[in-house]
Amino acid sequence: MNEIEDQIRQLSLRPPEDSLDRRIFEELAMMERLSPQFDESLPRRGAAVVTAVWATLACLAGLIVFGGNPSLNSGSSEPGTSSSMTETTRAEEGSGAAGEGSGRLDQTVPFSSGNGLNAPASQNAEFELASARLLATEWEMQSGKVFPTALHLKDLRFFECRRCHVALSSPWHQSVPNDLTVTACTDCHKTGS
Amino acid sequence: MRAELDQIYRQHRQALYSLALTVTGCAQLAEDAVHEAFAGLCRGTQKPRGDLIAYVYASVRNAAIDRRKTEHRQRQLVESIFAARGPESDFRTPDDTEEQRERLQSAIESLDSATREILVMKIYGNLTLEAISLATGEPAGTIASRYRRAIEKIRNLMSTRLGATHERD
Repeated sequence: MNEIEDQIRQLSLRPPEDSLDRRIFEELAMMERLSPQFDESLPRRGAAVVTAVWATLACLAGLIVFGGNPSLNSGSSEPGTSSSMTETTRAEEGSGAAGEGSGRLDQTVPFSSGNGLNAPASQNAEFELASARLLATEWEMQSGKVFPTALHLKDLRFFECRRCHVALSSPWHQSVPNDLTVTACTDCHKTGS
Repeated sequence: MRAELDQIYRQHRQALYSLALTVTGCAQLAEDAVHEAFAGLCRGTQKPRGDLIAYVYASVRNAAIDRRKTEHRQRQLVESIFAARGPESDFRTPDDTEEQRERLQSAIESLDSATREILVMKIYGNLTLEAISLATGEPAGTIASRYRRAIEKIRNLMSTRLGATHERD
């Protein structure tokens, strides 16, 4: 049997055109662009859940401390300053050192002042936004890399106002490009809501 | 996942294309089937479980079957999986070797399409019988006996034709 198999193996097969290679490698490249390693870390749901629990506890602690009426300076317009409640300040890192949309996220805040007892009707949407940030932060902590936010701009969770949830055509956070904690639209930022 | 798919494509490019060509009988449809299968794998949200290579072969085969169903309603397609060697070929082989090669190709092409698929996956893709079983959805035992019968048939055809040639000479 081996002899026949060897003879068959030596036959020349009709090769595919080069265009096939191009098409396949385009698909592979697109796959890489659309889903960086972040996607591969997502199945580690356990870690994300633990982080979410801690974030919720932090939020509740904040509500207790501030009496349900947090006086957070969420409208700070100083680049590099943060409006976060649980911030681990790394302002100098986040104020433009990295490229646009690629700042480290581990200084970000999971929840804004509108959560908790004073939660708006759109709390679910905000929670989803916070969860996305948490996952990104978790990914950064695990991988030690900077989360490529720019690759996820199609993901509206990373590109909507955290207060009114409109798509950010003119996001205020552009003035603080690497700080997603201050993702608010211009109107919401001006009103300081 | 991306790296694995990239590696699989580079290693199995020819065999995957030959499998698709075996199923469709048309070079263009075969390319489209391979592309369609990889596009689906690249855009899929979940990583397939189990043997990824067998999964890729199954994807290409399924895409090729879908293409064949659509196209064969209109026309019969019978392009060979083997490279044509016309007079413009860069190299020459002795006549008897050339004749033997043609006989072997004819013997393989006389097999039914499903058996040729197994042959392509086993010989050109170096897949195990279990992996072929996963790719085709048929029991490994069935795959093994069909493969064995195919090799026997090819050997018989070769020896019969060889004998006829010697008698003629």
